[in-house]
Parts: sequence; C-alpha cells; structure tokens
Amino acid sequence: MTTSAIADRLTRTGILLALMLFAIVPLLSMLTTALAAPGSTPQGLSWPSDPHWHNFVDAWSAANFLALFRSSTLIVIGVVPATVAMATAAGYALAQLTVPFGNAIYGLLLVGLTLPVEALITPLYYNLRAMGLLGTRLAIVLPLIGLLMPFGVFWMRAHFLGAEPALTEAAKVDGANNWQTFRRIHLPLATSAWSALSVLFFLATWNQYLLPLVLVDDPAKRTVAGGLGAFQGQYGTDIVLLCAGSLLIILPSLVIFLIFQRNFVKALLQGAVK
Amino acid sequence: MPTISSPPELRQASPMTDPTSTSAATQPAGPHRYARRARHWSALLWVAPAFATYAAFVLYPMFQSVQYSFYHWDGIGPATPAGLDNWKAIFTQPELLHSVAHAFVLIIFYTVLPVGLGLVAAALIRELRPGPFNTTARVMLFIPQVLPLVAAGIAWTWMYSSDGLVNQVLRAVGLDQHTRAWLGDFTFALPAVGVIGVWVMLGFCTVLLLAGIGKIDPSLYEAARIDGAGRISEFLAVTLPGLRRELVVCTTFTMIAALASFDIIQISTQGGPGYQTMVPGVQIYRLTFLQQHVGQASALAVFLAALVLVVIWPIQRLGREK
Amino acid sequence: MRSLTQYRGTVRLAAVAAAGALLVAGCAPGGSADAGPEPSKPATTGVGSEPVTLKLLVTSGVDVPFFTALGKLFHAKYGNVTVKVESQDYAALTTNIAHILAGSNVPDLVRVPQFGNLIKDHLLTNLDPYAKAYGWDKWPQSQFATTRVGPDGKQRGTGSLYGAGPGFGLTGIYYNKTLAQRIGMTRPPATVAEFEQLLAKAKDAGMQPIMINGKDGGSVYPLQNLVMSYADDAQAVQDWTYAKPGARIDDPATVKAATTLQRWGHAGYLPADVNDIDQTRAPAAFVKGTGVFFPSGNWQAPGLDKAGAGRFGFFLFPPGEAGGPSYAMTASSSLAIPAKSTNAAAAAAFLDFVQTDPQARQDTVTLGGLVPAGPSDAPAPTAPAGSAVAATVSAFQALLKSNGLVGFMADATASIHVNSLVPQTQLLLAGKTSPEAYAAKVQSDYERDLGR
Repeated sequence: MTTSAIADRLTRTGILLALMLFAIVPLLSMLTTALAAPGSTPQGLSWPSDPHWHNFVDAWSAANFLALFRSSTLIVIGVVPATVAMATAAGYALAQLTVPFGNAIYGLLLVGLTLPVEALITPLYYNLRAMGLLGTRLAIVLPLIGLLMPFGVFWMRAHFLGAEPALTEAAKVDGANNWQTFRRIHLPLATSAWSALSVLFFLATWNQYLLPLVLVDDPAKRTVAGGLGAFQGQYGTDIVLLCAGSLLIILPSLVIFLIFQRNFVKALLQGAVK
Repeated sequence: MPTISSPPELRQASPMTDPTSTSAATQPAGPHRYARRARHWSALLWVAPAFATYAAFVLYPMFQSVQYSFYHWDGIGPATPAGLDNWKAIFTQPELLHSVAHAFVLIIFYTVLPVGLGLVAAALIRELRPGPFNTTARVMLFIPQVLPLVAAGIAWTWMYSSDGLVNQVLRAVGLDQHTRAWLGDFTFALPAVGVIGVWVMLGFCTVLLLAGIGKIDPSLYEAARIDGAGRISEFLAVTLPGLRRELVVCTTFTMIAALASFDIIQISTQGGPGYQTMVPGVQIYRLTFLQQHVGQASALAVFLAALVLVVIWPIQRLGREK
Repeated sequence: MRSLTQYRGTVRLAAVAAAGALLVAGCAPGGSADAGPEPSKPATTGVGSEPVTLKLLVTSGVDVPFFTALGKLFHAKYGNVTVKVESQDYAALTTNIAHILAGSNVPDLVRVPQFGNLIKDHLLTNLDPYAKAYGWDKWPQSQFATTRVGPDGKQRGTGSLYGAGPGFGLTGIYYNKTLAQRIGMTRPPATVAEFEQLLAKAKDAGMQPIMINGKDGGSVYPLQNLVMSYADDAQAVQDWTYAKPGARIDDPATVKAATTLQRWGHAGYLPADVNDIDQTRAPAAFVKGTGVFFPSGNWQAPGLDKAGAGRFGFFLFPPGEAGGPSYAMTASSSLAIPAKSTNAAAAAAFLDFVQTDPQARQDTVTLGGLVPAGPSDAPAPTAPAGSAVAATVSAFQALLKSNGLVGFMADATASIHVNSLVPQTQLLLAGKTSPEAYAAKVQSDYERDLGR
C-alpha cells in the first residue's frame, strides 16, 4: 500500500472510531460518576481512585428497581402480543382478502403513523379518567396498543403483499377457508416479520415515557423509562446516585440488545424499506 | 416509530394493491356471488379489532382534541366557547410561535446531521471487512437508539453541566474561556439539546443507510468506475439515488421525532433557560397540566399534528418520483 | 404506497365531516358549574385505634428529612399511625398536583405551594370544622391568612381554611461573616443603596458578591424584595399575590426593581452562570466560600449551621429609604388534605400535632429552620446563640410585630412561578428583555391565568 493509501485508511478508521466514541462516551461518563463517592460532585470523566460499587446497591433500592422492571414487563406482556396479533390479522386481510372499505380503513390507519402522541395526550387523560383507569397499568396498555397499531398493520400488510398467490390457490383447491389458509400457510411464513415487529414493539413500549408520566402517578406502575423520569425528579441533585440508578435501569435493555444484536438490527431493517 | 415507505414494486399488477380496482370487477357472476359477498363482509372481522382499538384510542381522541381547541377549559370545571381564540394565539403569542420555530431548528440536528454523518459512517463501515470491528462499529453506533430517550437526557445533562465532560475536555485542550453551563446558556442551550438528538439518531440512520448501500447493485459501481468517475461523482451518481428509499424513511422518521420531541427536553432543560428550548411537545404538556388551559393545549396539539403532515408530505412525494 | 394520495382524499373528507359533526353537536367538554367552597364534612379529633398509614407528598429537598422527622415523632405518640413521606421536585409537583389529587393514588397530606384551581375544582378538604374542633380558631389568626381562600375559589387572605403547617418560611439575606468583615461591613446595610455599595466593594475585592440560584427561581425573591423596598409599601404586592380584583404589578416600583436586578447582573454581582445554579448548588457553593451574600430563606439555616456553626449571619432585605419599613416574604410550609383522602381525621390530627407539640415545634426550628406559630401561649423554641437559625427566628418575631410579612409573588397563581417569573427573570438577567417588558409580561400572564 502506498503511504497515501495508508494515510487514507488511517483517516477513515479514525473518523469511524471518533463516531463510535461519540456514541459510547455519555454512558462511560455516567459509569465513572456512578462509582464516585456518594453525595460528591465528580469532575467530568474521571475513574475514581476508590470505586464505590455499592452505589449500585443503594440505587437499586432507591429506584425500587424490581418493581419498575416487573411493571414494565407486565405492560409489555399486555401490549405486544395483543397488538401483534391484531395487526397481523388486519395486515393479512388488507393484503390478501377483499375488505369492504379496505382503502378507507387503511388510509385512516396511515394517518396515525404521523400523529404525534402529544396531540392525543390531553383527551386520552380525560377519557381514561372517565373510565376510572387512571393510575392503572391498563391506562398505559390500551392507548399504546392503539398508538402502535398503524405501524403494525402497515408492517404486516407490506409483508403479506408478498405472499405467494400459488400457495393460496393450492389451499383453496384443498377446500380451506380464509382462516385456515392464513393459519396453516401464510402465518408460519410470516414468522420473521411478526417476530421483528414484536421486537420493535417491545422497544417502543419499554422506552415509553410521556404516556406513563401523564396517566400513572405511581412510578412503580409505570414503564422503565417513566420510572427513570420519576427517579430523576427525586434524586436529580445527587448526581452520583442518579447515574448509578440510570445505568441500572437501562442495563437490561442494553444486555438484551447486545445478546440479540444481530437479530435486532436485522429485524429493524427487514421490512423498513421493502 | 418508523414510518411510511413504499411497498414492493413487483406487486403492481395484483388487484390487491391496486386500489383503483373495485371488488365488483373481480367478482365472478353467477351462483357463487352470494357466497363471495358473505365472505367479503366477514373479512371485516379480521380488521375490526385492530381498527376498533385504533379508533378508540387514537382517532377519537384526535377529534376530541379538535373539539377542545374551540373552548376555554381548565379540565375540571365547565367549558366556555372560545371561537378561534386559541388558534389565533398560536400566531400571536410569542412563546407558542417560538416553540414551533425551535422544533424546526431541531430538525437540523435530528435529521440533517444524522443523515449526513450516517452516510459517512455507512460508507466507512461498508469498506470494512466483515469481522469483529465491523460488528462492533454497528453495535456501538446503534446503542443510543436502544436506550430510552430519558436516559439520553440524563446522560447528556450530566455531560453538559459545569463539572461535566464537555467542559473537562475544553479545559484539557486549553479552551478554558469557552467553558460554560451549556444547558443554561441562552445561545447554546438549543444547539446543545440538538446534539443529544444527533447522538440518538445517528445509529439508526447509519444502520439503515448501510443496509441500503448493501442493496445497491455492484455492477452500477463497476459501470461508474469504467466511466472514470471519482469517489465523489460515484457517490452522487450511484450511491445517493440508490439510497432514495432509505433516505426517505430516515428523513421521515427523524423529522417526526424532531417536531414531536418531548422526552429529551423535559428531562434536560424543561424548556429553559427563559423559553430558549421550549418545543410544542413540552408546551402542550405544560398548558394542559400546569396552566390548565386545555383548549389552548389542544389547539397547539392539532396544529403540531397538521405541521407534521405538511412537513412529511413533500418528502414522501420526492421519494416517489422515479 | 403509490396510492397514498387516493387514501389522503378519503381521509381528509372523513376527518372534516366528523369534526364538523362533533362541533355542530356542540357538546362542550367539562364538568358541572358549581364553584364555591367545599361543603364542610363533620370533623372528629384524634386518630382512633386502627392502624393507619398517612401518606405525605412533599417537595424534594429540605422538606423530606424534616417531615420524616416529624412523622417519626407523631408515630412515637400514636403507635398505630405510620407516616410515609414521598417527594417530587418543585416544578413537577406544581405541574402534577391537580391531576394527582384528582387521580386514584391520592396522598393524605400534600405540600401545596399554590392553590391555583384546586379549591374551585373541589380537590381539597375544607379545614374549618377541624379548626373549630381543635381550637385553632382561638389562635392569632394572621398566621392562617395565606391559606385562606374566599368563596370564589380564587381570592386568598379571607374565607375558609385549606392548609396548615408546622411553621413559616422567611426570606432574607445570609452573609459570610469572614468575607463580610473583609469588605468592611460592620452592621447590616440600612438601605438598598448601601447594600449596593457593599456589593461593589466585594466585586472590587475580587469576591463573588451574591450567590443565588437562577435556574429554579431563587433570583425572583430579591426581585420581589426590591419591588417592596422601592414602593416603601407592600400592599400593592400583597393584593396582587392574593388575587384581589384589579391588582396590578406593572408599576414603576417593579420596573425600578427589575432595572436594579439587571444592573447587578451586568455588573457581575450575580454569578456568571446564575441561570444554571439550582437550590442545591447555591448553598453548597456559599458554604464553600463562593459568595459574600446569599439571598434565601430560613429553610436553609439549619444546613448552613451544620456546615459551619457561627460562620453565617442573617439580615432582612434593607428598605428603600433610611428608616423605612423592612419586608420579607413568608409562606406557611402548609399541608393540605386532599378531598379524596380516606384518612382525613388522622391527617388533621397530624396538623394539630405539628403546631402544638413542644418537640415538634423545636424540630421545626432546628431541622426545618422554619418559625412555628400556633397558639400564642405555646413554648418558644430555642436556638443556639449566634447561629443562623437564631437570627432568622428573631427577625421573624420582629416582622410579626411590624406587620412586615408578605406572601410570595410566586404563589399568586398555579403557574406564575414556573411559567412566567422564572423564565422572565432568567431573560432579564441575561439582558434579553427590558424591565418594562418584564413587568408587562408578568402582568399579562397573571391576568391570563386568572381568566381576567
């Protein structure tokens, strides 16, 4: 390699490394702060001479970590399977069956893709209050299902548009009705699509902040992100505890991502640009 | 949430995707017609649960927002009609107008910069051999997308504080006179918040564009090289057009995030100092709960929704031209 | 979707039609129209014998250890009552208070800095029956002025009682005794002009004259003090704070006060990053020696005494003219009982306890730094001589006699502080708004909040 090629290679690797560093540095800065002496104000990024690992233990109880985690899991269990199921059925119907007013229905769903959740938060608050659901996890689960539905239908419909018509024909010849065709043939073929969708919905639910903030006051009944917000409100001035608690709270998502990262990223890209 | 893009082009001929074909055209005449129609209406059952939840928790509240915007209401007592007052206020009250302006400024940071840097990063990663460094680069860049925005806000608020990393770095390179409380500074607060947006969006754009580059036919690059194209013209002639769809998705997604931003600003600056970082999302929240002006909040909310559509529309059109 | 445009047409039509239908139907949102005071519920004294958990919701910061200690005292007296203290930061609590009280997870006692629409919307319990049952109506009544709200649900200072608390805050200026000596301060300044001279001397000596928290509204307090000093009279401010009809704040005294504060900012008397300092950082910096003067309140006194006993003094904000009246802001650290609470009786017993029990009153002074009021014959708590706490207590007594206690401007409406005073003062200190515009904006936001 010529010197200019080497220099070129170095610059390019350098730029990439700089971007990677940019991505990771805020987390590093939180880590070093989380290990500093409790109640102190460390200076920027500096590994403490005496790392206080027990800060994480303190943060665990202060943040009521187990309750937060459990609450978020319950909400995910409430949201993801239901939304994926309904979206898959609707997506299949809109793609493969002739649905009366199908165009209008799909068009209305598409509008929801661009609606900012802030536009809905005020009426949702009063509606849920009238239903007596404010402060319960259902208050987060139900609107979230509605909010995630447009994307789910869009995603599954896009997948089912690519369904092989020959398979459907063959099934019809065998005397199967729509439901059987769907369940035995097309649904199994869609596994990668709806599992990818589940991953995306998991992320969206887990990281949901505004809905829990407004609709549920008890941090132990919110999502992880909602609980983190409350944690910051209470301990914001104790930077050491705040960083320890924040890291604890984001650790599960981080770990899950790192374990499944190949599938994660593949999932995200799979249908995004079909 | 990721949003609209184009369906596969290959299905153009299918009656299912061609909305101009009506069901009547595909119906056979004769004795089977009744059975067909019955099957049609049952198809609604497939869509009903999805549409019902959507209508109940998205469409209906949206209409309610429109309704509320024409009243003065504190959310608990009775409401009094307000005519167009709340709507006029959006254009006459400086705080409201400025928050919309700030949202547009954020588009530079949430969209323009991440797309630009993402192209660079994607191009760079593309040239790497498959292996641990390749995977690590992708994974690291994508991590900010996985975290809740609240965590991003907390991490960066700490970095921007007087004792935080940013000032530490400035002092280390001898630029002491430039240190400041970034999020409390009237000039730099909004760009500082914007940088948080760059951090969050960069990985998403990189990975998306990377996948897109992977789909470009290598023979196009060959042809360009044969024609004697340099790096830049190759990029402009082959890569960019090939990335059209990915760019549309990336731009749409990030623009919506910019206009509708709430989490990051609420955690880091709450709209301050003064009103420098106030954005419509936070403004709506405040108007509803702190100031109890539900009508005004709803007007701003509907305005925001309309604004998003207006901004996204040209991008979608652009992406569709062939 | 190449066919997006076709969908768009259908959707637009449907949306317009539906919206139109709804509007034409004219169904207005909202509840019933009965404003007015909460009908009184019968009051019982005592806590009964059932195990009760009293939930307190207070603001993060010095409130938490203080009320926790009071809770422990209460539990020591009534073993069946456990007091649980939760907190949210001031801005979050002010924003969320209305829907917390209207929700399902309602505390039994809540710190309510501003009443806003809470009375009008029937979210708080009327305490008049308890005042009668416990005999609070026989105490000096001026202590209850700030938590009385009139029949219209808005005007304060008269009407039914909605809050009571362990003690009263008091604003003034702390000074670092060593640094003050260095600039030649022998006694507290007698006028605002004299105070400004001291600030100039401190600046020339290379010290930080004033330490203050501008991020969360600490800088609004000296502004209010300046307004009252320049007006030589606090009635206009008091009327404005109590939402008296026709009250205005955009007057020459306010403009002069804003001009002065802005001048202090430009001259470097306030910290350069004042808008980024919050109420935890400000005292921490002051204790470390940054800042000769620290305008704040008596709630900071215990912390200052703990960090350096005898090192810090306290004086009231000087008047405009020599020999003129001194004013200070006060607010009851009051708790209110939400209307939806199920433990109202126990909550009221707690309120009576903190105002009358000698140990609780002592803790109020030493832990909370607040001045207890209560019955006129209650034992006066003691504080170590020369401490900041002792200085604040005696200042309070003096002002009680001279009628120099005024409510906080920040409490005038539910959102005036977070939404107007804090950002506007930040703009003022950064030179981004003029004093005239400042006064006008605060007045117009005030009128909008009160629906005038």
